[in-house]
Amino acid sequence: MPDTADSKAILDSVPCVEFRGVSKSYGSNQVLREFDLTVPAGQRLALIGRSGSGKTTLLRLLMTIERPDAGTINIDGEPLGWRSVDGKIVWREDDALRRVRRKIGMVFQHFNLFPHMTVLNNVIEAPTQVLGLSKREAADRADRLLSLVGMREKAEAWPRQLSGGQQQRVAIARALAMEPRIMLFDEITSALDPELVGEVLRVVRQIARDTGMTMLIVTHEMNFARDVADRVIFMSGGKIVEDGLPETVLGDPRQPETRSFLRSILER
Amino acid sequence: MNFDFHYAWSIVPALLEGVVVTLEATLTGMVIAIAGGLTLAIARLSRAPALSGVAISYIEFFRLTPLLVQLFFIFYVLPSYGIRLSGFTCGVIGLGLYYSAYMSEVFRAAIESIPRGQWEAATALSYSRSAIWKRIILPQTPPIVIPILANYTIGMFKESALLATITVNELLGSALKEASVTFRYLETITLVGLLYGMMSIAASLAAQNLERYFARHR
Repeated sequence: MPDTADSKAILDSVPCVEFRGVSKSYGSNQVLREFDLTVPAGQRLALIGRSGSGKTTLLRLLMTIERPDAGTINIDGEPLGWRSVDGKIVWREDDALRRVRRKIGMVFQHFNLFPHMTVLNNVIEAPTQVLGLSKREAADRADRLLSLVGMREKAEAWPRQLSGGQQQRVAIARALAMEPRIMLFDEITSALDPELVGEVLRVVRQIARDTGMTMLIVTHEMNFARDVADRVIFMSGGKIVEDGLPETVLGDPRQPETRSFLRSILER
Repeated sequence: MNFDFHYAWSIVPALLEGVVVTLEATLTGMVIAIAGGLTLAIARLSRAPALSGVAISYIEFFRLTPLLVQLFFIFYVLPSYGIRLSGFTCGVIGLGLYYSAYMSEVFRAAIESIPRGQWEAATALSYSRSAIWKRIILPQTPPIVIPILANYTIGMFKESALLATITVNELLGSALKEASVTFRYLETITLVGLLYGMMSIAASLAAQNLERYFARHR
């Protein structure tokens, strides 16, 4: 059936995440300048660079936590947030935006679990409230995901009773419960004690292995980036300095700036 | 003038009726103040400048004018515009509007103390703004709000005595009514003071316990 094959090829050719000329400033500090980036569906992209290089801002723009000053961001070809209304471009927090945003999930550096809910309710809450799942369906889903992250025994615990690593694993389950197609990981191990980093990264490695999700990962863990990612971008001053395969960017970087950054990470 | 215990005892039933009115006024006033305060706090934190401007003006106006003047305005001035309400209704509205301004600042402080990350996590889970308020932000405020609310309730309880000036027979009003017949102010006003004092002490102990409870459970 050539027709279906063709339309499938067209679908595949629409990039999953697309930044076009995106700029973002905080006050006088310009974090991104006319930034372009295309991420195909299913790609595991690791973003590395010094703090302030714009990599976290990239994720926050994608999650609509921040709005771009200029440029467009498309998810599966649909623009995020900006609409043309009566010839003016305005930001609309409407159903269209929410529908697009629902494809994206995010895990934060500081976990941000809801402290007034148990572990189980943290995972059930959004699927029932936002997706309209029944309590039963959401609980089944939560059960499966909490097992996946090894937190099933703690389902009735409160976030404050958990270690950072445990909280972060719950946060991953909470994000996965929305069944996003794109997952954003924003320095998810940076706030953890060193001995807790491994358990969290193991979970992400497993998700990368078992699913076809598109992933954008901001991280300072270079070994993790090398294992999980199939593409690594080194950013500096809101621009892409180097973009390529993990073994190239991390193993044999072309740019002197990438090389000095990697050296500074290794000397930590 | 000697304190006449027999007389004092004889007016206790009348005063207790006044206590009931005082408690009714305080509770109704507090319900209005909570609803009003929450609305004002959300309006004040809204992204629409007009809305937050209105909220700020309201809060400043009601905090910077005396409650007694506000009560007199509602009771004596509004009837000229065809709004005729009972003294009790006027009093409860007055207490509610006045304390809304104070409660809104309590709610605002509580809302602002919720970390940004909570908004961000809820946004990342695709909550609408109203759902973020309802499901994530406001449910986290009671431990911060309730201890302060308890203290404001005691404040309102005491200030409800002002309602005596607009014909309400709450505790002070009912005492004045008795005394205006017998001229025995010593017994009546002493009893009024004792009753306010005893109830305030009980309420304040309860408030302290609430505070301790929420300090442990945060």
